[in-house]
Amino acid sequence: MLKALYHYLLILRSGLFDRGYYLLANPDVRKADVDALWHFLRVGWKEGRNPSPLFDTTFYLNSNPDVMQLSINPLVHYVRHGKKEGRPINPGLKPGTGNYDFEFVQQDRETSIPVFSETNLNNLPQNLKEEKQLINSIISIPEIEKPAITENCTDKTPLFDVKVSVIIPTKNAGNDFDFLLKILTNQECVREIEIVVVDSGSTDNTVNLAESYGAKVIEISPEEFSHSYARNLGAQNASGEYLLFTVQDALPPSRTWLHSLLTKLSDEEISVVSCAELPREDADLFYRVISWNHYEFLDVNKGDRVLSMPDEQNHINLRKNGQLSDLACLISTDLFSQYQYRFSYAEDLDLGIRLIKDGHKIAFLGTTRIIHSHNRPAFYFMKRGFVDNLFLSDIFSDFVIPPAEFTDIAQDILFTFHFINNVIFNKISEMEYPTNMLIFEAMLKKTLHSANEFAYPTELNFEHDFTNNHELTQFINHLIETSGYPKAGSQYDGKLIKALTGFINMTNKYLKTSRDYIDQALAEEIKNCIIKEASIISGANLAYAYINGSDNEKERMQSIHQSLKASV
Amino acid sequence: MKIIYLVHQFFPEFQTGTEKFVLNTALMAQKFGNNVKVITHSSYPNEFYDHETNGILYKEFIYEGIPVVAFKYRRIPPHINLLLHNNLGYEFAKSVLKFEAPDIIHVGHAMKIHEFIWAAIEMHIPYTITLTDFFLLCPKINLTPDQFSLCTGPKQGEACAELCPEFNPPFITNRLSEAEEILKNADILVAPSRFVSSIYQHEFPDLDIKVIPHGIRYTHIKKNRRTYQQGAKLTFGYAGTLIYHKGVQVLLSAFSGIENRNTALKIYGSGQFDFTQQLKEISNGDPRVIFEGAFASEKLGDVLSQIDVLITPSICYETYSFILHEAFASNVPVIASNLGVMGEEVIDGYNGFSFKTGDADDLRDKMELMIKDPDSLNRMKENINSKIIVPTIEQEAYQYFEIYNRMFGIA
Repeated sequence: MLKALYHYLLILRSGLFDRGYYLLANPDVRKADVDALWHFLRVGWKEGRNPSPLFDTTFYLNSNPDVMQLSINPLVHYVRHGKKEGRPINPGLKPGTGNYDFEFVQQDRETSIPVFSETNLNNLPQNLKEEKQLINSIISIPEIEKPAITENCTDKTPLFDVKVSVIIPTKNAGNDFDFLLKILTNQECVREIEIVVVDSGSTDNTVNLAESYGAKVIEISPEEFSHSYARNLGAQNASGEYLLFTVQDALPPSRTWLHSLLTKLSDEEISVVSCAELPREDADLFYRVISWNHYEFLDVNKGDRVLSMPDEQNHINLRKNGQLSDLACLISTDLFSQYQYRFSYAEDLDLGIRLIKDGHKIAFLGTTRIIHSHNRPAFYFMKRGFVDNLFLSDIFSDFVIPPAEFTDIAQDILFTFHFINNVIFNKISEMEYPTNMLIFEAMLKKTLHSANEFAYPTELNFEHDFTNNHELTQFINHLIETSGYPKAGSQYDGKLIKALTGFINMTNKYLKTSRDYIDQALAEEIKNCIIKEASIISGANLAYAYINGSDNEKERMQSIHQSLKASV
Repeated sequence: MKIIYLVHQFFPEFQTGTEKFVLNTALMAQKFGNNVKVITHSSYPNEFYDHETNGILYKEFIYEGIPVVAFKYRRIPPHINLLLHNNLGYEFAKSVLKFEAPDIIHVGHAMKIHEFIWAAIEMHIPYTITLTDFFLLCPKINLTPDQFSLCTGPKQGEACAELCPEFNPPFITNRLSEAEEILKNADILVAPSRFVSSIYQHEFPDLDIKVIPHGIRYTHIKKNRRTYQQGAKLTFGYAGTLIYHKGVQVLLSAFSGIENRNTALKIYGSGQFDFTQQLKEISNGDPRVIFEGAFASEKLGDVLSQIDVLITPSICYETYSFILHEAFASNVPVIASNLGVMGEEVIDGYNGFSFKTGDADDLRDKMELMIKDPDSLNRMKENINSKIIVPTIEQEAYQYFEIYNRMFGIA
């Protein structure tokens, strides 16, 4: 009790508790006729209520895990410690304001007749024991139509009298798989849906879960798995007239999603339908940037496209017009059986290109999407950059491999990550937030432009694992062990910073679609994004070095090749 | 595209369901690559604001990455919580919209910001409204003529004249006419439940209202996979604020009439001390009743895995019930008042039972039905597991993604 009284007086004297605000913001406290500060001290802060418009209880607790862990009143903590330590009390900072000045001229607009009085609407009974009659005068409750368990098809969504087999390759499918199965089996206005799961060695309940939804499950060993083999096997075991290929962590956005795809496929001109993805709530900035950029490239961010064979058949045009996506690919069983998937990688793009080469047309939808995204660690993108470029050089004869030599690239990678950690991140940390997007962009450009003024590092010295990805740091260590420090101390003359500049420009372009200001949280996201961008560029350049390399050089890069090709 | 969100109050000052809905929707729209901004009325101390024009104070700040313009009248216009227009706000709204030049507007709540809607109509800016409550039909917002009664809508003002005589009838008629203009000029109207949609359509039958249920975060959801045999002990549960209109007193009264000792009732949530004490007095020391206190949102999965049946005994309209949907997402059957959205979602014998609102005897009957036939819970859980789909936050946002595209002309 004494402690509570101490806290009461502490806050009272601090002047940081706004009684009027608290009562205004909390009608229940107002009606309860209790002391507002007592209420805040005893229960209010635990319920996330704010003691004043400027002190955000939830923000303070979330920003200060030490306070959260101690489970103490955040305002008490702020008065006693936080204020001295300069801890922020709300996330709201002024980024600048538009000029909304106007000239006011009184108009003769008709005014509503004022009310006689405003009543206190929710005056609760003060004593329940005296208030026996709880609610006895509800005036005719309206009849609300209950939702049908399955919606009836309408003129807008007529029944498709077809059977669709959904093919899903799985391995330890994760928490979202249950929901995927549920929403697939509840798709509306399609006569029959069959789920075919091709599982390659799950050790969790993936197989049982699939069976509980009536799926046909084909089990293969992990060694047998390839993206093409698993999907082709699923298709061979399917009995529907149409096949829908999707993935274990995708989420159809509604019960009429498949109907939308079938509607598009019913256009006689169209042979296959695919759709873009929409990121999940927790998708990181890097994923959002590459996803947005990919759909800018395909030109589907502002609508749907029908893809067909381009007049000029270079690798860019073919990729732009032969794109299919494994996330959602709807095709008739007959047509698929003539082609099937090939290769262990990019099998969707390969199928799309073969189809358009034979005169088929693909509908790639930007207005209908599937929910899907990954938050993968930076090292995955190093691998992805490596494997993607090996594949492109295999599949497209006109794909030009830029000149690259292993030792140069290894030094360049070392310099780039050092430069990110010691220069770019410092510049980002020095800025005051929120800051104007254009100012932030100019700072990044200037910083990247200054790279040539710096020298290659003489040692690998990441004081802390700034990449937030131990595997990536380990890999860079291994790279340097392999290449040594032949350029240590000489002025930077590499090309990765230029490539990174291109990637960062793309990020800024994406950010400018949705942001006028950068705040502290976004600045942190941008730092993580830059690490992943540097990783994917590094992986790509290692691929160029590998492709260009002599047999001896390939031998030298053998362990790097192995590390980067594993598990993509 | 640039999207302006309008809401009568917003974070960090206020954080009720409507503010959460606007914040989530704006965050997702921003992640989908749109430029978003929230414009809201506010009531910070005057020194908080750093601009003033014609007696309107305003300030722009960022909350969780979302730009917010908060404004306030230096002299609050009379009846600002009831009326649907004021001239000063109208001129300010036009000035703001001219400067911001949004492609579309999304209204989360019309109170105190309706002048932006009138300005949008004049400036031909397309707008959508999510009808989060009944403010556009009812100056008292929740169709509650007094604390013991509910009504079903104004009926062109006839119901208001009879049930709310404190309002001048011409005021009501005029207000309804303004509301109708606001609603009919909207490009797309959305309600979170059929219940809300039907109440509006009851008054304005020509309105076309799309129902988009709110999404939930599955991060803290755990599937309750318990199965039941005859004689199984059942634990009923309530989770929410302990306030009068949530009807916990009805639940306690019903439970006190159940003689079976092999059952329990867990009450999760907190409320004002006096009211909580009164609830405890109703339970009269029954050892089967456990007051568990407040729980953090990340503990929701634990709460719903510790009960067998959730009870939502509200005696007021709810336009959407998160806890009811979270129960279904967790595979937990529900016994709910046959009122508002709860009456809409619960199908007798399929995913739970509904009972006559405020009727403790009827509620007790439904609870006893389950106690006597626990196997029925197995069937209900199977139905919920295979057929009841509670959308995710992303699925809800996707519906708005489609709406914005349509309004913006993306086909």
